Amino acid sequence: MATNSERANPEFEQLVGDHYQGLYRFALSLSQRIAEAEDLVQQTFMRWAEKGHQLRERAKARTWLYTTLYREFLGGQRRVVRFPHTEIEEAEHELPVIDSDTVNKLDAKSIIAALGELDENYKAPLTLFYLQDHAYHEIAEILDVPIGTVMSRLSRGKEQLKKKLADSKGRAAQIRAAGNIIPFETERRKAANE
Amino acid sequence: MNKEEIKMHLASCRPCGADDHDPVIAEALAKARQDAELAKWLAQEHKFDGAVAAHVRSIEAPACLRARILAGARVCQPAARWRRRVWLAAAAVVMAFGAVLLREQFFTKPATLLDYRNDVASTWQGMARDGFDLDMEHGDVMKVKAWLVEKGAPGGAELRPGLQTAEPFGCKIIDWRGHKVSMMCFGRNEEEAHLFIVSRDAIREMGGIEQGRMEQVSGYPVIAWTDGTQAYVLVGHTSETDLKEFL
Repeated sequence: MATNSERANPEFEQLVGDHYQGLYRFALSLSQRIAEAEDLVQQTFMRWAEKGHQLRERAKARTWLYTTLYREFLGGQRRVVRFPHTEIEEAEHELPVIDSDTVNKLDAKSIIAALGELDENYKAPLTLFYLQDHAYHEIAEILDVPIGTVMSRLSRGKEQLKKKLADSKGRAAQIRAAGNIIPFETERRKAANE
Repeated sequence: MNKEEIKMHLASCRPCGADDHDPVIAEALAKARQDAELAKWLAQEHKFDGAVAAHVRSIEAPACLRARILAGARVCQPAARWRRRVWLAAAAVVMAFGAVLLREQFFTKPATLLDYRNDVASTWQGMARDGFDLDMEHGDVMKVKAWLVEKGAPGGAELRPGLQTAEPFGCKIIDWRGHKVSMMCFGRNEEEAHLFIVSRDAIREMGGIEQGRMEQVSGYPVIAWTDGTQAYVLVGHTSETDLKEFL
C-alpha cells in the first residue's frame, strides 16, 4: 500500500506532469467525451497511487499508465470484445484520396471525432500511434495484442481514417452547397438591425 | 518481403523518425528507398501522419485537470488508510462535533457565527491531520449542489466569483450541533479550499467576528460570512493557501 508521503512526493507529481496530457488525448479519442476523458485520466492516476509501487521497472510507468487507462475504458464500457471488423482489402478500390493539405485544413476536433468513429480494433492503436510517444511494440504491450496485429491494425486503421475524413469533408461540402450554413456574423447583424 | 508487407511495416513507422533504427522498420525503410513508387507513397504517408499527429497533439487537457489529479490523490491518499478503519474516521468527526454539542448543551450558550467558524476551523484541522474521505466526488458544481440538496444538506449556495471559476472536486456532509453542514471542495491551480455551509437558522448571533475578513484559526486561513439564508466558512487546505483566489 502506498503511503501518504509516497503519493504526495515529487515523483508522483512529475509522473502526472509528464503524462496527463497524452493520457487525456488518448482517453478523449476513446470516449469522445471530455468529462469521461477527465475521469479516465484521474482514475488511472488513482490506480497508480494505489498500485504503482508494485511496478518494479519504473521505466515502464508510461506503458503501465496507458494500459491501465485502456482497461479502465473497456471496463467502464463493459464491452464484449467482439467488434465488427471491416476487411479493408474488400473496400480498397473505394478508398478516397485525402492528402495532408486537406488534413491541415481540418481542426483537431474533427480529427478526434474521426478517430472516434473508427472500428474499435483501430481506434486505440491509431490514437496511440498519433500521440507519437509509443513505438508499435509498446502499443502492442499496452493493448495486449501481438506486434503483427498492431502493425496490421495501424495499416488498416489509417485507411479507414482516410475514408472517414474524406466522408466528413464531403458531408461539409454538401451542406455548404445546400446553403444550410449561414455565416454567424451576418445572422447576428441581421438580428441586431431588426 | 513484398510491397504490401513493406507498406504494412512502414505504417507503424512514426513520421518523427523515432522508429528509424528499429530493425523491422529500418529494413522496410531501406527497401522503400530503393523503390521510387514506395518512396513516393512513404513520403505521402508521412505527410498525412504528421498532419494528423499535429492535430491530435494540439488537444490540450482542461487547465485544471493536473491540479485535480494531484488534489484527488491528496484527498484520497488518506482514504486508502481510512478505508481500512473508516468507522474511526467517522467516529473522530462525530466525536469532535459531539464534544462541542455537549459543551453547548451544558452551558446552553447560543451558537454564534464565531463559534461556527472556530468549530469548522478546528474540525478541518483534525480532518487535515487524520485524513478524510469525500462522500461524493465530481467536477461539476451543479451536480455537487444537486447531490447535497438531495441529501437534505445546504446546497443552494450562491458561490462567490472566485469559487465559481474554481474547479470543484467533491463534497462531504458533516453534522454540527444537529445541523447538516455541506463541505464543498475546490481546487484552483495548485491550491485548494473548502467551503462549509450551514443554514443560517443554525446560528443565533452573527456578531463576534468581522464577516469577510480573513484570519488564521487553528493554523488555517479562514473567512466567514453569511447571506440571507446560509452561513459560510471558507478554509484553506494548508496554512499557506491564498484564500483571496477563491473569493
